[in-house]
Amino acid sequence: MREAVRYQYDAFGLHIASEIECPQLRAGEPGNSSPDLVICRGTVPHELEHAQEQGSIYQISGEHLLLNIERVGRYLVSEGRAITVEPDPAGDERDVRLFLLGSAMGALLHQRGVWPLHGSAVASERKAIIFVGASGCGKSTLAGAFHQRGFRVLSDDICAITTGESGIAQVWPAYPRLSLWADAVSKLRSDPGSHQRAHSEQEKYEFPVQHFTSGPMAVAAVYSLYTSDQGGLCLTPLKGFAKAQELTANTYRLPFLTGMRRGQQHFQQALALAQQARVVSVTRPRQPFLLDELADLIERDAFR
Amino acid sequence: MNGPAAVKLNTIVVQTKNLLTSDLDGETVMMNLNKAAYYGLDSTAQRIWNLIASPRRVADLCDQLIAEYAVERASCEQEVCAFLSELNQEGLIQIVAEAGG
Repeated sequence: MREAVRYQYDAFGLHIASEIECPQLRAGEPGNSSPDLVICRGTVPHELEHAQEQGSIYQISGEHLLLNIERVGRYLVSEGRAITVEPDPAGDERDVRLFLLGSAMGALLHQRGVWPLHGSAVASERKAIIFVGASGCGKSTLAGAFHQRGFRVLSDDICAITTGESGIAQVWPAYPRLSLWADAVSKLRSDPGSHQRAHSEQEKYEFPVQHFTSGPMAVAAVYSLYTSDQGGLCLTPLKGFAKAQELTANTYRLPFLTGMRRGQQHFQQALALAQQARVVSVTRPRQPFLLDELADLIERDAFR
Repeated sequence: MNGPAAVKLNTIVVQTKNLLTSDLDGETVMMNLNKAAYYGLDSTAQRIWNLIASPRRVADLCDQLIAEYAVERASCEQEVCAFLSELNQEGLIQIVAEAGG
């Protein structure tokens, strides 16, 4: 029998052994300790028995979550330790990786009791800040701007948060890539042609990150980005339940969390982060983006 | 009639289970586990919430509040019934019974 090829990676604080190559992930220490997560190719069912919860692309049964992405593949995420992937024969491997490192990884983190916040995280030497908000509001572009200013980038999609025994909410580094739309790449004065396409159909480009960090960082602030058709830049700190609501609403794949009945642990994590970090609502004009001004404002607010 | 019933003075109400509460910035924060939805209670609302930790008739609850706060009976009863009806709509309290009489 042929020994399957195993790539070793470190991401989200996990040692990963994978049969699927993921060039965007950081290589792990080879042969070092047993993996926390094993990713392999295999047969994945079309349905889960005794599903307690389902959406259009997922089913949940106990500690198992099945993802079914048309023209990409099926993923079975199990017990916080394993992801089995059955790619669609017509699928593009970039798309297979995208959903593996996206929805499937999100489900896995939920199973492990790690809170995936949907956003981008950057950090100084001492503390991290996170940008959350709807698609197109500028999370990645802002992370790119902070990267150009010499800050480290921890994540550009899933910010894995743990509270641990210390009770301090920390964000774990994901992998050293920023995913930017073509217009965002040009806002950062870089040439889209020199970067790799992340997705087979979308005009999204992967942008390498030079300043990365290997360990978790305490979260000092979360900026929730909104665009508006009128007015300028405005930062409004939130208080009380509005903080917790804003954080939970930006949970990556929130229906997975409620479907897995993991609300109780999540509440503790959300309150720990709300107590420790500033949560600031940020409004910027839709056009022009005012990227430099916004980065200046947030940098002063967070790292003064 | 569909939907949750309005809370009246002779209704007996109690907090529901499946709710988590904690303090945040001096506010009581509650989360409904089924919906992952949050609610914030100011100090008066907090007092009402604490008073219905065990089943209580709304009229008795109002007596207690009138003794504690500078509020007129009529407006107290009206506001408390409206507030509790709202909580009931969100599934945050249970109606135990309508007391007779």
